[in-house]
Amino acid sequence: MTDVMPGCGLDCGTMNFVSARRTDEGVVTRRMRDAFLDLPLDSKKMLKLGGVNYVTMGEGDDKALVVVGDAAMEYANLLSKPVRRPLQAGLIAAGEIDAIEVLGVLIKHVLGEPVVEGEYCYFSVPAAPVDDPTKNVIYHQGVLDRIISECGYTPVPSNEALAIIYAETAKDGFSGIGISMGSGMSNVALAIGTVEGLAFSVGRGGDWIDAGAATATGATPEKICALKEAGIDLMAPKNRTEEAICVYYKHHIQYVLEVFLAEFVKIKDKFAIPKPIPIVVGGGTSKPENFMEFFQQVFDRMKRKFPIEISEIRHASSPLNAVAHGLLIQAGQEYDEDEDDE
Amino acid sequence: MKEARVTCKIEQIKLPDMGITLVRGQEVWFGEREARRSADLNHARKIGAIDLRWETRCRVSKPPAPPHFRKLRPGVRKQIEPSRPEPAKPAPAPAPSVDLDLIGKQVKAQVAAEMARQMGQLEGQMETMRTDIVSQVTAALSGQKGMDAEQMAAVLKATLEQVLPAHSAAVAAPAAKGHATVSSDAPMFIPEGIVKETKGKVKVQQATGSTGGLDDAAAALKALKRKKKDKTND
Repeated sequence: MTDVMPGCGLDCGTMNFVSARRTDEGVVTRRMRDAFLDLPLDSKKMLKLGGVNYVTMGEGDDKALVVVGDAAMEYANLLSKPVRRPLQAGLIAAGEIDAIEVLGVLIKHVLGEPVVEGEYCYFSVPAAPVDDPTKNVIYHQGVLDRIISECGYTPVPSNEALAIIYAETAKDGFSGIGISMGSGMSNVALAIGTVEGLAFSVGRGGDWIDAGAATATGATPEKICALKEAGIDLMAPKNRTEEAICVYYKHHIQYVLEVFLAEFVKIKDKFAIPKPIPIVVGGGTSKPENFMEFFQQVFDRMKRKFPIEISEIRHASSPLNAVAHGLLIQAGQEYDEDEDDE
Repeated sequence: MKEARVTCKIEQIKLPDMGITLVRGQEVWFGEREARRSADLNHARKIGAIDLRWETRCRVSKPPAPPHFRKLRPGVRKQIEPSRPEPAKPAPAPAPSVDLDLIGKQVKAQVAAEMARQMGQLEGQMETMRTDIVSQVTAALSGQKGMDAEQMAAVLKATLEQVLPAHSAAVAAPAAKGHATVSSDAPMFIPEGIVKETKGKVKVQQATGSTGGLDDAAAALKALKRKKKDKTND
């Protein structure tokens, strides 16, 4: 039987929920697509025949069948029905009670049962968005906190981009700029020796690229998203649609770096950076082929303006799991400290 | 009023009885009577040295010119006066000394007085609210015997709903500004019992990877924390 160590990391993204745990066989990551599809009760037979997994939610007249995760995406395409997403633009939409209940189902299955009572679970939260102060991070964090604690864990919120620094910059003394390019938002953090100097988010991500490229080409955002996920080379676009995606990728990277410059100006006198630090990029939006070469090109054009000496720009070793890994490292420290105290 | 518009057509011409010398292109206006009397002007017109037209001009009220504005005639150069040394300015009076401590005390006293005034207002409103609730609940319950807890709760709820909105609006009004803001410690409704027992199956993608990088990172983090702890102890 597999021996599971206590401490768990949970990346709560707009597109995916990813949990990470350490076992004697290695690091186990569990992933679920952050999407659901609600269907009437009479669809049960059809779902069973199609071999689609579903759960029954609600009571009485409100009872409905809910297909969650990747199956929801696949089945929505079959039925030509729009898939629902519990998180919009990186955050839980206040008032979406259905979405919250589905989140409960998603998180419960991604986390599984705690291995010890009140096991520590570090979960990702975005920093406050600098370009949209109306977005409510507090409510988002509060709901996730409640769901995780109802699953039997001790929840601890942690910044998403900082988690990338924990996972990827050990050789740099946990110093660097972590960029998590997500679907709903992009998070950026600057830390020196795990001490956070700057953390912010922008309300643009993969969804913004999809929407922009869709408008430019007359396609739907879902189609652009599918095209991106199927594999696109940012350095060699093959057609007009791919060229549009590249244009929006370029603007997005440029925007994130420009906001970083503007935010860094505010703290530059309060924070000393003794030596060059790396930029590490993770997140699902950084998955396309040659993303890092593309990022480097955009960065090179802004290099002269950049106030920090950068040692290198690199991709996270596992872009989709980097945040969950960083959170797992932090959760593991809770138990190491207990050992130290003993 | 009819006037004579005279335009000079030759290099230069003197009109002695008008007391004026005109140059080519120069245009002047004379009153009708003055122009008809002038023999020199008539002579100049006859020899074609000037162009004379009888015109009626309208009087249009114009805003007064700004004090620094001086209209120059065309072709006349402005005479630049040699610069004169400016009269010595009197030495500026010494700035009155500012007693920051005194100003600070005055501001504090004003703020305290304003806060006391607002607290007084709030206390008054609370007192009125309390009186309203008590009187309305008393009126609703009078003559009703054997009321159970549910009925009692309904009466209280109805009374509170009736009394509170009017008062809350009155209290909130002075603080209202451009847009609503939510402070980080503001209470927020987060439902309980989100995670429920569900029937059915959910597919989760699972993968196992090497712990190499994570083990190194965890060890490095532990070492860093120990180092920081030692530094603090030293």
